[in-house]
Amino acid sequence: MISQVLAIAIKDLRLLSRDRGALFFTIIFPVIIAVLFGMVFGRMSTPGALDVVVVVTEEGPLARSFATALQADPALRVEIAENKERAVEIVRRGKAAAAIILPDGFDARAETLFTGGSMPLDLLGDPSRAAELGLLEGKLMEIGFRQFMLAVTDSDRLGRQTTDIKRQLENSKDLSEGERSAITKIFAGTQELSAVRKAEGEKQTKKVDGMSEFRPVRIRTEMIAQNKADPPSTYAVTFPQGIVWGLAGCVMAFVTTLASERAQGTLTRLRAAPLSMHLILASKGLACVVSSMIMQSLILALGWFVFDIRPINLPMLLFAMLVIAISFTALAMMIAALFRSGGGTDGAGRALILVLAIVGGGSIPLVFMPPVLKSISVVSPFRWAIAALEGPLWRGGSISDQFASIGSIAIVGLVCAVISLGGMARWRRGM
Amino acid sequence: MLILRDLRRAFGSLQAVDGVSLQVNRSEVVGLLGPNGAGKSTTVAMATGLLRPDSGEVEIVGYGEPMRVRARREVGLAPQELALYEGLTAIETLIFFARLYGAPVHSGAIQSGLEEVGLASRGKDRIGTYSGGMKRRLNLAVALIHKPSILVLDEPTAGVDPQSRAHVREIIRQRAAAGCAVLVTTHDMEEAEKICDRIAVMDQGKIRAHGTLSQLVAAHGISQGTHARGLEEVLLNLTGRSLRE
Repeated sequence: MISQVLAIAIKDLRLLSRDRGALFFTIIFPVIIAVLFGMVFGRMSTPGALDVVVVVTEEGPLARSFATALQADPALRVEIAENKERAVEIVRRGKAAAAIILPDGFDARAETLFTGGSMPLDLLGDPSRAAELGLLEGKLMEIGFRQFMLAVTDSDRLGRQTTDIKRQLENSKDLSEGERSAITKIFAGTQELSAVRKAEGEKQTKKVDGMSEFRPVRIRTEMIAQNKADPPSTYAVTFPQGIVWGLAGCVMAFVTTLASERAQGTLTRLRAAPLSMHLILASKGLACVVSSMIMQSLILALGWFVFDIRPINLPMLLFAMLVIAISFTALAMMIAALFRSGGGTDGAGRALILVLAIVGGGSIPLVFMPPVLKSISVVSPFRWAIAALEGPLWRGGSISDQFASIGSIAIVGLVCAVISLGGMARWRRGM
Repeated sequence: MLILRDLRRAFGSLQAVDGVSLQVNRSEVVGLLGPNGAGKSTTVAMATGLLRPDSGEVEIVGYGEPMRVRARREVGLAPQELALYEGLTAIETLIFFARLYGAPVHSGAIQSGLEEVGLASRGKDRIGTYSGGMKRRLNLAVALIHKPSILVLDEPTAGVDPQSRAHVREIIRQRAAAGCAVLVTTHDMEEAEKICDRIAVMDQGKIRAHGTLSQLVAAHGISQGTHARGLEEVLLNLTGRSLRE
């Protein structure tokens, strides 16, 4: 019995592999959809700039100046959050690569730049975006230097700081009288320089050499896990969409082979062979499941290795793929069982699959769908297939959430299987 | 041996087969003749277990009714349609059907099957590239690949050239000589005369006459006072000359 089942399944897969039209709609077309839609949706968002969220926990001129400098930088797309919790939430949702926190006492610490201090920054980053975080640290250092240079050339601030330092010198008990006198002369010169600059107006200071060891910014980095509520890229959305079309191709290939078996009389020959009709359909179903699995694997492998869509739960993803393959085979069987003529199966089946695929999010992602269409989409098994794939692919969530999505498509498959069994009973009555 | 006993089958109000009884013995070729719509294909479908009779029974002697898996292994069917997968080669086709019937699939068995129908040199070509005659011969080879004891051939030479026709007839006779029970439906009077040991003439779901060619001519060959020259006259005398749908 097993050798008979395998013989029919292998025969169907061999015929599928030699049918260029079926191959195109099962593999090539879904890939085109996935890549093309990914590019189109990708261009709809502004690429290039790195999304960061900034929190100023204590208002002050230096903190404000630093935040303004971040906002003005073309390499960054900055969102200001009211508090750290909100910033963390934004990063967890994947809306930003990192949160930059200007902590309490930022201004006070920034005032100590001339005495070896530095501006403190807390960087809360998404660990999956390590490369972007590295770039961001460099960018923060660059902005820190710019802020420092501004401080150096800000005569008011320079004067204020030297006055403070002079007062500290006068009160210092650790210095000898000679040392105190010498250092006081230096700062007197600095104050004079500040006065001259003020008189001449602010001038752009040339780049200061020999400051490679100087770090105006002290970054304390902390990683926060993203909950993946949003896709890491548009391709993560469009590849499941592509798989929808691949599933449609597999279902149609199955329905078409059954229709052509009827039309060509080969089904008669199979039925005359020593195996039951259920076994014949199970064999053809096995071919449909295998072709669906191959198609899903190829598309997801392409997404992984070329578009860096790394599944967050691979075992769950494989399980979802298997359930989807079986459920869509049940859908194909239902179509084949409902229409008795080969032409009816082929024509009506194609129309039904096309409508279900479009409504289920094959052409427009669910997030962009108008509310009415989104409500209608619940009847489409393609919608549930996308949901079942997205969970372990990028959406994440709890295991029970992911099982719920996979369970939904399994229920759809079960309903299709029950209906197809009813249809096959009609066939048998006609025998 | 194949035995049909009082088979009846209706489709809605149409009584397609109405009390057909027939026996096909080992080493015997029995022809089922009749105009279109006579009930030949329905009878063949019931004989091979594709269709359940409303009443009556079919017996594959020693194996039971043809719905049984064991009984089906004993039957080779060549349907009227060229029931072949055009995307497969002849070798792949024979291996596939041999597997379905649990027959040997080694290259010797497959090559022998191809040689029998004169397709050994084209075994690796896809069926889609074959002529009608080649497809018809392969259609027969599929029915023969598991060496059945009963052959049911539904118009096995329809639409083929004289060479292929002669080859197919020869194969049928050889298989009968080897002990096979063969049931053939045909419109071709010449074919029936040449290969059938006995002939059953069917019309409107019933067997109108049954016997050897000479018995039929003797019994039904008188037409308007003239002795019929052949089977065609017998058929026309039994089924009438009005056109059928």
